[in-house]
Amino acid sequence: MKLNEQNRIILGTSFIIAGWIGHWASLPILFDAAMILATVIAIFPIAKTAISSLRYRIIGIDTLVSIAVIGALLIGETWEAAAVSYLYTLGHYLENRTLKKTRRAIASLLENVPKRVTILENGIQKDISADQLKIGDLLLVRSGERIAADGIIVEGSAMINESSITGESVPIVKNAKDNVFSSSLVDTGVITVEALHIGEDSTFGRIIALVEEAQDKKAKIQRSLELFAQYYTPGVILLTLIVYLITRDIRLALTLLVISCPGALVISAPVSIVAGIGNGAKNGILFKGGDVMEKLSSVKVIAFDKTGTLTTGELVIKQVLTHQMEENELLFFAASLENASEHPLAKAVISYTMKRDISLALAKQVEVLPGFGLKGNVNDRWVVIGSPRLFTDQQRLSFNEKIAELESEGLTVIAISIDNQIRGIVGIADQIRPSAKTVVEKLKNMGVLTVMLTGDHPLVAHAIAKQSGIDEVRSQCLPEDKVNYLNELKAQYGLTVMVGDGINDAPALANADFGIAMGSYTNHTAMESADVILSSSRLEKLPYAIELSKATTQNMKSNIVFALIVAFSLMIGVLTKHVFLSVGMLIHELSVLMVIINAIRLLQFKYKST
Amino acid sequence: MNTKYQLETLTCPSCAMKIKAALSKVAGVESVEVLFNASKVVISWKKEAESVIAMAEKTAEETLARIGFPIISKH
Repeated sequence: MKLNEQNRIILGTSFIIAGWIGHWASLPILFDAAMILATVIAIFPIAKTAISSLRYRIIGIDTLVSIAVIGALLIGETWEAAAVSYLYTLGHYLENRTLKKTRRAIASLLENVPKRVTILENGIQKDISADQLKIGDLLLVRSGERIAADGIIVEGSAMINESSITGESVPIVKNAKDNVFSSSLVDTGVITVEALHIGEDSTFGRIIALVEEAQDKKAKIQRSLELFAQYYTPGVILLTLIVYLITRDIRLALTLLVISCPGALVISAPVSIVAGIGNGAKNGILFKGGDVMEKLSSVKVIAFDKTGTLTTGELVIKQVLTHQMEENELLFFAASLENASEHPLAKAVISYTMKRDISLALAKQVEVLPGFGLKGNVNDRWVVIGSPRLFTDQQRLSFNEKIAELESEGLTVIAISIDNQIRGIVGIADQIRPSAKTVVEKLKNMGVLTVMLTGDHPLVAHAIAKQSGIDEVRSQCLPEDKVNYLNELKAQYGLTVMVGDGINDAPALANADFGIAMGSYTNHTAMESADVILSSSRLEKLPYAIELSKATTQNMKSNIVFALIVAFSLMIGVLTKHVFLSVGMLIHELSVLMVIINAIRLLQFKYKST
Repeated sequence: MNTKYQLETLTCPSCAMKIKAALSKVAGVESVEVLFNASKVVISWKKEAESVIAMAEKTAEETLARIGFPIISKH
């Protein structure tokens, strides 16, 4: 039988029981012999690593435990020697098992990447290991399989679940020439995918790399702790020597050695962080480290970008008003001209018009009026589209009241003139996200000040702010204004977090001292510059991220306090001779287990949605 | 210049300190960072070690093996 840790524990347990039977049967020889055997079985591997460490002049817990156990044997305390070495081995075994649980959430992320893939080589299927996959390979992916690389569909179509990337678990239909992401699951269908980005270069590979890096990014509190632990052990060893020289009490000295490694303290913070980050990753929230969670837990202000963050970013036409012209005719002229523009407002007008089955004409002599609009020739008539401010008061006359009314409702208004006469206006709305109001309310309940930063018109900004319940609004911001406002808010209230979609607000996100990017696992810039990345555009993840950060920080703090109290009490207990070898070891191992078990609770953390 | 090793899962709280102490004594090592949760160790080398990097890495790898932390892969 090979003596692994588990077998050593079983054997040790048997010998200890045999020893006590001997004790009750008044057979002291059996007692001592059994205890010595139990000690030897348990201490052997510990002493072995202790000796190898000593060769590098490192004194670790194994060295100290070995000295204590051998010392106990020498003074005839066979039961103490057996108990200390047995408890150390048992503790180590249980710690390994529980620690694995804290890392389970992150480890399970890796299961989204297939280990083996099927590629097509000259039309012949070949099963290879995912490591051997090369750029340009053709992957065959069938129902129930995950895609192993970022790429493009060359053949076939399928319903694909991209929840590991986008956080949206509703499968979407993808056809030839569509992009697909590694780790996505093919729900139904068969596709052939040309691999374009593989391994760590793929979107999911980057997510994994980020999480892996994050789990060891230390919280501030952790650094001082490590420094403390670094001096604690040599300090206690020194104390042991002094105590022995003064008291000549070998039992006391040996007990001090057993408690000199603050195991619970050393892992108190890392176990909480790995569990917290793991919980986030499973729920589509990437935290870039323990320090990030620590910071987010004390957030004072959350500044939102408007378009695409508080709103869906999908512009919708709410109202069309005309003057001496049919609505469809007006839309024909407007959309034909807008077809020459890439502006989001233009896209809204075009899609609205196309839905009415109006076919467009080709606009000629198109000229862009920067910041205001467009002009051009459509079917030999001069069309101008743009902000109402583009036109004179007199031209606007019949619409002046209506324009003010629509703007006060929060609509962006554009006016359309044909042959120098305004024929109509269009009111366009950016729709607020359905969850915006409840999310803002939740944040307020947490005592967070909510602010909206937008480049939009004040009337539009205030309308959105009113609908969402946002506390403060800063409108007509240029990108540099956003950064300045963020600094002002920070100086006035404390930690300020910028939340954006990472597309419209990349500079603000990058310059803010704390940024959260939404729905951006596919956006490289946002992934790099933000501190927290939410996989989907669901705003509800924001309060969850804050609550999880708070829970993790709290968990870490309680672990540290607990570990410090245990270390301190043990020291007092030993010095006042209330704690002896085996009890010292028992308390030490129990405290390490308690700290790990406390951290595991974080994996079960769920946000109360009410 | 850095070398990163993936080790077998680190589980004992004190092993991080042990790895750090052992590797710090290898010739040419500037600093050592042990990533406990990821079970990785990152060695950054001194400038003068770069010319003999293969030898320096070999010593580091042997040290890790001898103190009981086998390497799974090198990055």
